[in-house]
Amino acid sequence: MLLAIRSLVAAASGAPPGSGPILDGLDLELEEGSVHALLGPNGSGKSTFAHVVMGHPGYEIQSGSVSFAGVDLEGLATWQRARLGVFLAPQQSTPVPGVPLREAIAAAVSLRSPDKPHATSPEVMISAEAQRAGLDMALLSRALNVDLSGGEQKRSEVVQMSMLAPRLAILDEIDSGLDIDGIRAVTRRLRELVLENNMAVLVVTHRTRILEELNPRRVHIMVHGRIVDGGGMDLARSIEATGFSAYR
Amino acid sequence: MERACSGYRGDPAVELNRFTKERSTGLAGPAWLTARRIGALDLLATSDPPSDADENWRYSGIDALDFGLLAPPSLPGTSLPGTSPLRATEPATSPPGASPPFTPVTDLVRKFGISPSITIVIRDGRLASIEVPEDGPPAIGVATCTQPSADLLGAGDVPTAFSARYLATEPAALKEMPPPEWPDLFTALHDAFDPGPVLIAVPEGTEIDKPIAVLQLVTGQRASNKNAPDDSTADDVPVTITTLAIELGASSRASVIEIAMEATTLNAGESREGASGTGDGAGSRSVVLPATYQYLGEGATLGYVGLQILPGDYWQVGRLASCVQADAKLSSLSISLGGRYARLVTESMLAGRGSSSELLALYFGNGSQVHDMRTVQQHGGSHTKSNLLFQGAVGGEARSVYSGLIRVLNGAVKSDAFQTNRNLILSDGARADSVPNLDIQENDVKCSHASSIGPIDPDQVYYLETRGIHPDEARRLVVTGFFREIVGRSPVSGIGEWLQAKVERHTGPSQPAATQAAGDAGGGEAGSDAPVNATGQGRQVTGMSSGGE
Repeated sequence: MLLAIRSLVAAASGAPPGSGPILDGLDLELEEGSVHALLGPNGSGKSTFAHVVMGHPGYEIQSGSVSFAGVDLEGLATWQRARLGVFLAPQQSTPVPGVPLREAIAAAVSLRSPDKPHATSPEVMISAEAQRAGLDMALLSRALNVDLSGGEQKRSEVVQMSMLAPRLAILDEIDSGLDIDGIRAVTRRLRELVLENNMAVLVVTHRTRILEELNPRRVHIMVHGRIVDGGGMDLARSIEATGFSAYR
Repeated sequence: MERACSGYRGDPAVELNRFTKERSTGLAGPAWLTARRIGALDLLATSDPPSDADENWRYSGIDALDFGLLAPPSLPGTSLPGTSPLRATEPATSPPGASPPFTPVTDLVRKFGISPSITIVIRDGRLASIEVPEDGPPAIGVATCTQPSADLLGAGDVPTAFSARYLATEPAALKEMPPPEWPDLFTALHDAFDPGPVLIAVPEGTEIDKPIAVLQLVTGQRASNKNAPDDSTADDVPVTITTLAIELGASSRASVIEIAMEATTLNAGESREGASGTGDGAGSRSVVLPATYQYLGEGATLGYVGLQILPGDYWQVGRLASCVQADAKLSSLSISLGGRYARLVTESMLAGRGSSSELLALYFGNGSQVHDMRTVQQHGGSHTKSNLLFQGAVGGEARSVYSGLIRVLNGAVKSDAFQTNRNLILSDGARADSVPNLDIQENDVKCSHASSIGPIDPDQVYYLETRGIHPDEARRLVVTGFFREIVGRSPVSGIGEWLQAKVERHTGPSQPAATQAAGDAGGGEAGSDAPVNATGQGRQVTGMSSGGE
C-alpha cells in the first residue's frame, strides 16, 4: 500500500482543548498507480487532510498514523515528505514574490536528485511541461503564483508536479478555475504520469467533470473529518445528483 | 529645526577639543571653501552631540558612541604609514600621457560586475588616482580644489578649463544643494573639516554610457608614530571626512557608482563588512562622515549607486543630497551592507518643473549592526515626481530604522510623491522601526506612503517545502525574492548579480526555526502616520492596525 491512513485524529496546532479535532478517526488507503477521489461538503476537512499528509506545521496528529511506502510520516518535515515522493497541489497556491517559477523548480529538481543527472536539461523539460499544461511560457520567468489567474495557478501546479515526478499527487481542487481545455490538458498529463511513473493520484474535488475524465478506481466521501462512504464513479454521480444530505 | 531637550551631556568644545579652529583653517582650499568651513565651525560650537532622545536620532543607538574619543583626520601631507594599497599613488609624479599604472583598482571594480568608463580613487577624502581604460577617458572633468585633474588623467581630451573655474568659485553641486534638513554636530563636523570636495562634472550635452566608478577608500587608522598629533591616544577613534560632488550639465547623461570600503580591502581581496560578524557591539574603530551631492542641470539624467561595505566596527554618518533641475531625472540606489552603525540621510530636492527622482535603498543587517536610514523628499517645482522604495532585512541582533519625510512646498502643484519602506525580520533578536511623515503645503498633489515590517512569511516557506526545498534554502529564496525588485531596478547594471549573490550569502543557513503557524501570514502594507515597529516574535505591525501578538 502506498498511502495508509489509520484512525487519524488531527487538530490545529495549539488549538484549545475541547475545540474538537478536524480529522476525527480517518481511514484511507491508496495503491500505487491508482486514482482515487475525495469528495465531501465544505468544511468536512478535506484540505486539512491534504496538509496533514504533507506535514503542515499548523496541524498536529493526536492519534492514528500516516504511512507512505511503509514509512511513518509523522516526525518527518514537509520537505522530507516531498522528497519521499509526496506532492501537494494546494487549493490556493501561495504567492512567493520575487522568486521566478523557473528558479523554484530548478531548486526543487536539483535538490531531489542531485546524483542523478537528467537526460534532458531541466530548462528544456520545464518548457515542454509548460506547453503540455497550456501554461504561458512567459509565466515561467515571473514570480511564483504572483498575480496568476485561478486557471494559471492550476496549470503551474501541474508543471511543477510533472517536473518533480512524485509517487503520490494530492490535488486539492485542481479543476477549480480551469476551463474545459485546461481540465483536458491536466487530466491527460495525469493519466500519462500514472501510466509512465505508476504515480498515484488523490483528487479532492466538488465536481464530477474531472472525475469523468480520470475515471477513479475509488471515490471516498468525507464528512466531519472521517470517511463515511466509498464506491466507484456511480457514487460520485449520485452525489452530484442528490448532494451530501444523506450523510449529515 | 526644533531640538528636543536631550539633556546636556557636556560642553562639545570639551568633548571635541581636538577639532580646533586652527586645524580647520589650516586646511587647504579656495576662499569659498574656507568660508564654508568657518560657517560650520560656528555651528559646531553650538551643537550638542546627538542623543537617542532627539526625534531625529530616535532608535539610532548613537548614545553608544564616545564623542570624547573622536580624533580629527590627519592633515594633508601626513600620509599614514603601513597602508599603501595603490601602487604609485603620487599623482604629481604621473607624467602626462603615461599609461595608467593602476589596473588593480579597475580589476576590483570589475569584481562588482561593473565595467567602468573611468575609475576615480579617493583615499580618506582626497583624490588619490584616476584610472582610464585603454580607449581613453570619457569627456568629463574631475577636480579637487588643490590638485589639477589633467595631470591625474594624463589625457588631453578632458576639459581642463573646468578645473580652473572650480578653484575660483563654488560649484553648483555644493552651492545649490538644499541645506541639511537636520543640521547637527555631524554635519557641522563634516563641513568644518572637509578636506575639499572631489568634483565630477559632466559637460552640457555629454552622454557617458559606461558608469563612472568612484572608490572611496578609508584607511581607518589613527595617526601614529612620527605623524601622530601630540595629543593622540591609543583609544582614538579617527574621523574620516569625504565629499563627492557630481554635477551634470544640461541635457547630459551619466551614471556613477561610489563604493565606500576600507583601504586594506584592496589587498585582502574580500571585504569584511559588518555582516561578517565583526559587529560585536563594543568597539568603534573608525568614524566616517561621507557626503555625496548630486546636481542635475536641466534635462540631465543621472544614475547613481552608492555601495557601502565598510568593516563591522565602523560608524558612518552620511548624507546623500540631490538637487534636480527642470525635466531632469535622478535614479539613485543606496546599498548599505557594512558598518556597526550606518546612518544615511537622503535628501532630494526636486527644484525644477517636471523633474523626477527614483530613490532606492537596500540595507541588510546582521550581528549587532544598525542601519539608520532617514529620507526627505522635497518637491519645490510643479509637476514633479518622486518615487522612493527602501527595503531592508535584519537578522541576528541587528536593527534598522527608517524615517521618511515627504515635503511638498507651496507652489509645487501636480506633485506626485510615493514612499514605500519594507522590512524583513529574520530572527527573534532583530528589530526594525519605520516612521513615515508628511508635510504638504500645497493642495493639488498626490502623496502616498506605505510601510511593512514582518518576519519571513511561513506560508511561503511551507509552499516551497512542499516542493522538497529545504527550509533554509526556501528562506534564502524568499529573502532574495524580497530584494529582487530593488536589484532589478538598479540604475547601474551589472551590480545586480553581485548583489544577489551577496544577499544570498547574508541569508546563511543558520536561521532560527521559523515560527510557522497556520494562517498567521501576510505582509500587510498600510498607510498612516503612526510609527510602526516590530521585533522578530512573529509579530506583524502595519501602519494602521495595532497588530497585537
